[in-house]
Amino acid sequence: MLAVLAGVIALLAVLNWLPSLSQKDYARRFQNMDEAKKAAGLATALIPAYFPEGISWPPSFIVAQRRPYQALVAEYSDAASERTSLVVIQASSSEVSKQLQRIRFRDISQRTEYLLKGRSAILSVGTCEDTVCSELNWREGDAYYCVLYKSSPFELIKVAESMIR
Amino acid sequence: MAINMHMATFLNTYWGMYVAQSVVHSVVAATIAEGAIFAWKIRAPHVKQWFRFAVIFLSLVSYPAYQLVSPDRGNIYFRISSLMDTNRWFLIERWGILPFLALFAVVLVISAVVFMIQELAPILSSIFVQMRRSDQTTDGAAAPELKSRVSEAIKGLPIDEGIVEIFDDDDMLLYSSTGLKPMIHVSTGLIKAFNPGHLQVAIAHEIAHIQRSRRPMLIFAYLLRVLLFFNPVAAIEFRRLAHEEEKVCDDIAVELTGRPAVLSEAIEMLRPGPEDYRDAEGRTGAERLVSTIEYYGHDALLKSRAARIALDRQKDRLWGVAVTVAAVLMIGINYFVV
Repeated sequence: MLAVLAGVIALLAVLNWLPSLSQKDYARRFQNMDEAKKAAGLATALIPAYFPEGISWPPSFIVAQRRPYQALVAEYSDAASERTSLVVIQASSSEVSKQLQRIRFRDISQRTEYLLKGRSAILSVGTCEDTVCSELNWREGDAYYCVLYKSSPFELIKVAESMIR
Repeated sequence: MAINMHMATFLNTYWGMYVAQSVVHSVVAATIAEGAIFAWKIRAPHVKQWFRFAVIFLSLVSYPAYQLVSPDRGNIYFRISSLMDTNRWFLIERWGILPFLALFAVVLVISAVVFMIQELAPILSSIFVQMRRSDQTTDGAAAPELKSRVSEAIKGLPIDEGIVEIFDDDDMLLYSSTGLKPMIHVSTGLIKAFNPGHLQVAIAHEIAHIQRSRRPMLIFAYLLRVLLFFNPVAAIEFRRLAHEEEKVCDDIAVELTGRPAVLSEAIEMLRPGPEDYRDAEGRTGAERLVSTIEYYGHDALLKSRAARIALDRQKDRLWGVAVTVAAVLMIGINYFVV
């Protein structure tokens, strides 16, 4: 039975690997933003110029894909706890954020419109993973942006504003 | 293309993921079930039924259960680290289409159509036929010699003579109806063709169906299979489960009568003859193909049943452990298949 088990697992692993030979557009992990941006086929990728104190650079986790929709996700860790603290998502569809968010709101206490350098954005504040969380969502041309920070909205707004030059 | 985008979007909805994962999970579960049956040399049909049932049941409930335990299971991070991500195949684009996803959709549609034509329609028509037959019963008017042959055949069997109903048909037909008032229906053609020994084992087989209907695994499996009407693996597993049911009832018939060789002979007599195949040849196109496949399938089942009874029937020990281990492996591996 162990041989059967090993055979099934090996077969699934091979089946999972085979498509990557012919198509590299599917979600993958990347080591740097340039490669990820290129793989996602994005003309522009908004990257924060400001980071709150304690957030380490470069991103601890980068994932990008071209199919089924373009997406680029960068996670930044807190230097002390080494846990993801700031997430920046750029996608070509507004209906996919749930699939791209590793950190999610447990509950939202406040949701309001916010003018982000002349752009209409939605600011949400609540809790996630037992801590205060805030999130900004806005649209820039064909791209949808989402920035989530495990803290109050003041630092989050600074991060989001630093992305728009 | 817009259609590709719509298909890809559907694939990422709850129901899209449900359909895709139900089918893929059933393939993995069926492979594990077959592997377990082979590895542990499982022979008893009632044990094989539990493996088949596990495949059907888990295919139906696995996705919602996994999502309940881990709502983030469908997200991009889980998919990257999963053992097998179906989207990697379904989203391959060639010649302006998503060929694997299109093929998958075609298979689902064919499975649904086959379910309607081959499973749902025959059940509805058989209910109708049984209702008509009940009007045409010749029990009271049956020739005394036919009645006495039946009376002789059921001697020693745990059955009242009143539940055996004779109907007028030259074909060799025998079936049971379960429910509140179980009945065994036997055609005049079968009574004439069978000797008392054959008739006894055949009726014993139907008694087994009635006895087992009190623990209706097959009916429950059928209800699950109806919900999985789009799933070709569930269709195959259900058919195999139904075939195993016949073998279980053969075993009970042998226990009741102690005559395995006679049962084997009786089953051989029920195999389709050349005239049945000629009946299929009289049809055209797809109808002929379907009839021929059905005859061959029916014949293969009867042949394997007859051969199996003639062999020594083995009792599997500790089969509960084998089924449990296989089910745990199905659940564990499929969790990482998205």
